[in-house]
Amino acid sequence: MERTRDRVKVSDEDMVPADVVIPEEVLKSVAPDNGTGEEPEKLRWRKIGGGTFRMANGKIIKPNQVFSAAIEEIPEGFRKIVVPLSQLPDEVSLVVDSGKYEVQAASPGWYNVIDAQGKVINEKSLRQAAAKDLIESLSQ
Amino acid sequence: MNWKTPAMWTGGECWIMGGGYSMPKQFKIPENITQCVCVGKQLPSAYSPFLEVLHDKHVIGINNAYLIGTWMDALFFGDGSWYLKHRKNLAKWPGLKVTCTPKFANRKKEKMEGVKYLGKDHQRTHGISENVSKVSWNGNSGSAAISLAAHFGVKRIFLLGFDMEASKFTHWHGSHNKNYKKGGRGKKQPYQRHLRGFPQIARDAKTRGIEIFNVNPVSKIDSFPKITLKEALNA
Repeated sequence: MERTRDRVKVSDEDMVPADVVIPEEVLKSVAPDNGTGEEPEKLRWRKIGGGTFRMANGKIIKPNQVFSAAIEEIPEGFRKIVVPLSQLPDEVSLVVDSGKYEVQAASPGWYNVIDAQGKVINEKSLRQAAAKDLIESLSQ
Repeated sequence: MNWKTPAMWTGGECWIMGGGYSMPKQFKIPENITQCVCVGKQLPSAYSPFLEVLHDKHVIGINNAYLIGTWMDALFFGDGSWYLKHRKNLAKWPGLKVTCTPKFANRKKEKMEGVKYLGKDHQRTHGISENVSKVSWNGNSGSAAISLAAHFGVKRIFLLGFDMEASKFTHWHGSHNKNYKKGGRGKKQPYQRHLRGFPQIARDAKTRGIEIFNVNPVSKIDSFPKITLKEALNA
């Protein structure tokens, strides 16, 4: 496969051999995901004062420039030099799935800690008190 | 508040899944699937059926690796801007989420968003931290996660996707920073800098009796034995 400036050319040797069976769940089409699930809402901002502001994506914002960016792209520490031109929406707190862990008996007197998928988290079985301590540590 | 890492994998082994393009190759994932994932036409979870041998093992994913599946025990990330991009998805991901990004350093528990914070060990910037509430940063998340694995108590670590070079794509999930190609802020690939910590990691691992294997025979990291996936699974 060779790579040009903007496109990737795929040669025959890069493709799947005919005898490779690809699982069906892999072949079913899925929507592209950029990792965020949904596109964050963009707001208008102005860079005030001297000097430039460099965003995480490499974009350089000049003094007094008005630009669009999601709230997440402007760190709180820079909000004095990059000011929003409209009211910032109230921050909605995330509903976090912090993982559910349970103690499960392994053998008489010994216990495992399992996660929500039923996967054993500990390497070796533990005494009940140690298992509870582990859950407490993981749930901190 | 710093998390105190529990030694829950004492004497065991774990796999650390980095972002290098060698990972799907080791698992013989067809090239067209890898390319679809890299350009965003498939989700990284498309890799999951091919990684079935790992589903019941202890696995720490680095950055985007969490998107492969919920069977991964833990996720480690060190980049605050990466977190902002993945924040909403991560809230729904049930595994352990661990970071060393200072963004979480002084947050109250209710503001941690389910993320555990380990500070960067400034006494030992390279190598493996001995402080269970810190990691040696070594300049990148994958190397820092070796400290996390050591805190968990493992005696054997298998590194996946620790290539430290860019071939067709920089990562098996596409690129973190498109500017690497365009010659912007990140015009210089960071791999030379990332390589600096590994010799000290190897020395610390030897001192602590931890075996580290690099599951990529052509990796640029020369500090650990390089093996194939088959050899790793039979080790």
